[in-house]
Amino acid sequence: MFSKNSVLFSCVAANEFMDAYLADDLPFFTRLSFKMHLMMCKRCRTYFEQYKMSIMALKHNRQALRGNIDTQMPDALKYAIMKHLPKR
Amino acid sequence: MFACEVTAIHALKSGDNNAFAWLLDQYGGLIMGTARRYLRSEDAAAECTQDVIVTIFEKIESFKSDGSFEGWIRRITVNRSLSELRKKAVRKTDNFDDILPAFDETGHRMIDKFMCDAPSQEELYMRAQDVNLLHNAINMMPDDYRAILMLRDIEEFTTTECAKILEISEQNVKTRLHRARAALRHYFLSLDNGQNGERHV
Repeated sequence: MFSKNSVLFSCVAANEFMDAYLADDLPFFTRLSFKMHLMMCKRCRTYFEQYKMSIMALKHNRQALRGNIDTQMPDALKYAIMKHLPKR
Repeated sequence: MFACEVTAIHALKSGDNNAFAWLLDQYGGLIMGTARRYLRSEDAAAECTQDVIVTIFEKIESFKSDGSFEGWIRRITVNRSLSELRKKAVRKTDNFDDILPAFDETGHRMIDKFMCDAPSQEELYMRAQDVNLLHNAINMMPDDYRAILMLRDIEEFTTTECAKILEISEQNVKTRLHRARAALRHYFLSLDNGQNGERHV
């Protein structure tokens, strides 16, 4: 996971740890190494901000995406289902 | 019609048709909406919904009152929808290289188009409020990536539950989820905010 010549992360390693970092599921020093990598690597920092924001957008809109509010079952479908329910 | 859900569930177990009418009124929308998100077709969602209702009819005795009835229905619906997706097996992730992040031979991240012309924090924030944009981004994803994203990040099943539903290992769930989130980032940034067409970078 770590680059050959350093105890610091490579971009590949940082990429692997993104989800665990967001879930607060990294040991202290791994978390620290991840944050240090983001401080030093602009590409990973930009990528991570976009990655994090898209996940946050998903979670923020979870209820709306579940569609509980605006989905209605058509009456014709209700009728068809009731008509064809198996007999006990 | 029924004083509370517990009474209605009891009536369902007795085979009371009024209870099934109640079920369709209360949960029909949830079942259809969930099926539609996975299957992306009105006809397929309607067919899947019928299958789910029949499954509930057949398995209602196995529902334990100490659990969440909505959660139980949701699990049945997701399983049925995924089963249909597997049968159709369309839009698999055969060639996803241009969407996932790339690294050079030294392990450094390669620049992609969204890093060159990165949206500002404000623009990212505005996109995050747009449910339609998110909905479209999710619909553009291949089926198996969309499925894991919905299971884990929208339906909030645990990694263990996802592994069981998808019949894959927990490590596989994590890997697939990571790729699905990378794909989400791609589509989230590529769609035009407000017009929901392609954003040309």
